[in-house]
Amino acid sequence: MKVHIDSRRIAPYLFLLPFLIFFAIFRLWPIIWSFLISFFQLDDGDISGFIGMSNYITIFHDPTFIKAIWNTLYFVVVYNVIMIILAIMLAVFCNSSIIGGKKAYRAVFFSPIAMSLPVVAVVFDLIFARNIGFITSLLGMFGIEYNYRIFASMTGAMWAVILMRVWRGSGYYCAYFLAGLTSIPEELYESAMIDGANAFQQFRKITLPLLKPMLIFVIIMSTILSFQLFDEPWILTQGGPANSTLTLQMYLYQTSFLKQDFSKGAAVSYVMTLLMLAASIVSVSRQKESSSGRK
Amino acid sequence: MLGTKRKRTLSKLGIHLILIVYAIFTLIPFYWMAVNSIRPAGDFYSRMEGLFPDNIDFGNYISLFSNTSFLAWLWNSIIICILSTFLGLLICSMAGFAFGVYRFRLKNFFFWLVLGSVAIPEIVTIIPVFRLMSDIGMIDTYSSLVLPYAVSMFGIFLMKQYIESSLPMELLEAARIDGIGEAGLFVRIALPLVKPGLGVLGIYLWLNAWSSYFWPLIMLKSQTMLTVPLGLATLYADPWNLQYGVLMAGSLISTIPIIIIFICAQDQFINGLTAGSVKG
Amino acid sequence: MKKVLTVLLCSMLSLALFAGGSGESATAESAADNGKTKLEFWTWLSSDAAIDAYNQMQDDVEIVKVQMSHADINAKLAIALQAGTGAPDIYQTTQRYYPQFRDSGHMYDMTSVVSDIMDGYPDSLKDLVTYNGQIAGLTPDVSPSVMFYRADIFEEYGIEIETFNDLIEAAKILKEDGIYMLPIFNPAGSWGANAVGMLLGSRGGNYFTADGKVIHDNKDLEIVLEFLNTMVAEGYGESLTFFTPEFWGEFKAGKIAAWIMNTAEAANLKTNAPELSGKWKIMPTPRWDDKEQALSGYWGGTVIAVTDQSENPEAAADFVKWLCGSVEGQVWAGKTWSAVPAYEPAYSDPFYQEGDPYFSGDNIYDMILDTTPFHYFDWASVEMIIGEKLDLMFAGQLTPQEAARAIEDTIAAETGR
Repeated sequence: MKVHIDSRRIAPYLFLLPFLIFFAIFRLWPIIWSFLISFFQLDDGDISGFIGMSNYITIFHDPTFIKAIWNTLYFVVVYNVIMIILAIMLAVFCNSSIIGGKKAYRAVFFSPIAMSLPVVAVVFDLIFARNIGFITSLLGMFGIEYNYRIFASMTGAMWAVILMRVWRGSGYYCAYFLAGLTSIPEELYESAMIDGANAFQQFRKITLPLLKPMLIFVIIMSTILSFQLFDEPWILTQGGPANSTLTLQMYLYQTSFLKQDFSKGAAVSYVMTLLMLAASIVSVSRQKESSSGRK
Repeated sequence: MLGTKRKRTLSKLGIHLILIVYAIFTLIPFYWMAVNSIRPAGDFYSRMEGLFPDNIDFGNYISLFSNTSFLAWLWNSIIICILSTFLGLLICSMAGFAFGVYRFRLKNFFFWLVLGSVAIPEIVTIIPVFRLMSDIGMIDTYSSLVLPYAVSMFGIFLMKQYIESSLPMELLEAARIDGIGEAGLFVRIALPLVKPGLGVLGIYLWLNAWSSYFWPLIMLKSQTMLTVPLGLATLYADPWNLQYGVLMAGSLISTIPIIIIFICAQDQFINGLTAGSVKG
Repeated sequence: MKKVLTVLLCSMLSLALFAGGSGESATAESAADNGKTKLEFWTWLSSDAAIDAYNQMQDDVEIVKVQMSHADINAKLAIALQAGTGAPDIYQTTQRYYPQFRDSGHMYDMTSVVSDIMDGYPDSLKDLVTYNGQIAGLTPDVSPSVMFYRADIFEEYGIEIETFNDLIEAAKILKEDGIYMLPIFNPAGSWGANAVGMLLGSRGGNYFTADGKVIHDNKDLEIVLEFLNTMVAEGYGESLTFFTPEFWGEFKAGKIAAWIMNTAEAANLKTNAPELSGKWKIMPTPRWDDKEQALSGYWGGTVIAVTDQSENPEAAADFVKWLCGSVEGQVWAGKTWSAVPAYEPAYSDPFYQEGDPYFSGDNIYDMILDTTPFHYFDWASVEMIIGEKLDLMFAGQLTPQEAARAIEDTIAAETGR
């Protein structure tokens, strides 16, 4: 009996042990190290002079950094709103009891996630190209000329990036919402139908509230991932035109690896972390508020 | 009665229409990739009249397999994905089991540590990890890619939620009374029950390892060790030797493994998420 | 309890197993080779033929090429130098980014190996690779500007170009038929700073003084920006993102009449628009109307250096010396990546005296004019700043004068130069 109790007490730590070892080596101490160096001068990879908050002060005085923050927030908000609405819609339609071929739709919608980000960038460049692109060839069949250079437009370029991400992400997150939907009991809809609720009311009163846990989960995950937007604008615009697609991750990359200022780079990434956490907390608490308000 | 039936048929058609339109939107880039991969090299930069190429040529596929190490890249990627998925599943499910089943003193502390570190960009950890890897002679090995990816914070979070919602405590207590040890509970009771959750996590881990670019770029050196994304990048690294056609061919082929895995696992993937469905 | 331990042990074991396993395979690989010392060479160029030629001549060493884009090389190298480990024996980078690595002090001093050939380089390149009086790298190539032009179009419209104003005058006629005189990098992307730098060089101008101070009230910069702005605003030049598929598509479709660009792009024209063979010709860079002499500007060029982490730095330096500082190596560089030799004795080789049938028999090396030294400092910052201001100018938000001032002031403020 005594042995039994002991093992129950030790067991969780043993189960956690492999995780803790990996976590300590590959996350925790690198994080502590990089947090420290954001306050120090770095000399050949070794910490030398203490410089206090000066890195943080410098970056907040850099208009390019502020621009990168706005661009990133703009992208995160617009992309996530569009992507999530689309993903929920697709999931609801895909889950509809009256249609067949669901598996085929699901597989097709999921497939873009299989394309790696740099390749997505190259392919969309080929789709938008004015002379040899897909849009040109398509419209050309109807005698329409296509002349819009979307990646050269200060407003259009970010929207092109958003489009690429929506294309890649909505089918993937649709799978998460589908999972959430299948757990909603069919009887709820049946009784609602008897009460005379139409499809939209059913969606608002049953689907959406019951999807909330999954929604929050997707919001957190997708917010954090989309904060790190890098590959597509890096390959297609290098942040241009006029820094309109410059993201925080690009700023971080440029600071750390191109300007080789790792200590400042560390400061940038901690500002990024704070923003990411804040954004997830805000969006989640708004979700919770609106759901409790409705109840 | 007839009215509702017609309405039903109409809405059925409507739903199909919407889904088909979106499916076409989804498939356009794949189509364009395929079309551009079967054009002769000399035609690549010329305009196509209509949506189908005038000349078809499989030269890009031939040079993909004969002039590049595409098969080696594919092999490396698959090995790395298998290893990191396997290891990640093991570690995440063990940690998830600990968080989901036991009460212990440092539980909350550890759990917040996991969640808090999710948001810190990976780039910032590169130099210390790179140094470490180099000190223990792991640069340019599979391990340098597998080990750092083995701890997925998302994976632990998912497994914790999953185990909490699908593993009845009474079952564990009953098993304990039958004299099964703590390890036995995990291996014989928990793992079989959370199999669908492992499917979800498996696909997530596989996708992560399959598409990562920056980490392998830093950790790998030799041309024969490259993974698919890095290998494909060499095809457009040299501005005087851009091989877009070959790149299209290689990219198209490299999406196939993931799509196959999803098609095979999609029922489990979706059911898996259902049962584990995350409680806010 | 035992079982928990067993599971743990198993997991640890399996870990160690494949950790060790892959380590083993790596050693097995190097043991299986010919016993030669391998030297790792990072480059983005497809220079296999040159490397193979060198390896054929060696009994003890083998150069192993690792190919990645130059942005990737810069990032990877920055990390390796900071971490003090993981750098290659030899790497190639662009001349504009090289100063950052040179000044890190982590380059192998190859003075003793290469001092006998340094007379073969112009002073500006000697200065570029010198750090604290030591030779810290060699230049395999330079990339001076020439003007590629469509002889058939020029003939049809009776165009003759001598100065930059002639370009604008001719563009007015071509515009009526939907042909653009030049491609213009709009948006600037990471190429804009380079391209403006090249045109600045063709006026003998610079962004920085030789000792690294920003040139304020830079008249040359203003004139170059004025020219570019006119080309874009009047629709004389075609706004394009350089080196994209769309960009090459426009050449192939015959929409572009001329291109002032570095010599190496000859190779790209040939591969990407083979059917235009015989229609292109080459002439020297035009003269600016307010100048008496026409000059070639610099697009960039590259540097190859040995890092201080190399275990066989002398053998590595020998390879660099062969590729960058021998007639034979320079001819191979020319053959594999159309390099224009930095090492002047190489021009005596017949390879550099032949004409090219694609360009109607013109010899590109005859079209290179004198150059003045061009100075690169803090290029990562410079590139971003100039790119942004150019985009604003092309969008009509800044006049060329304002853009020039904004460029100077921002660079000065950000780099403290």
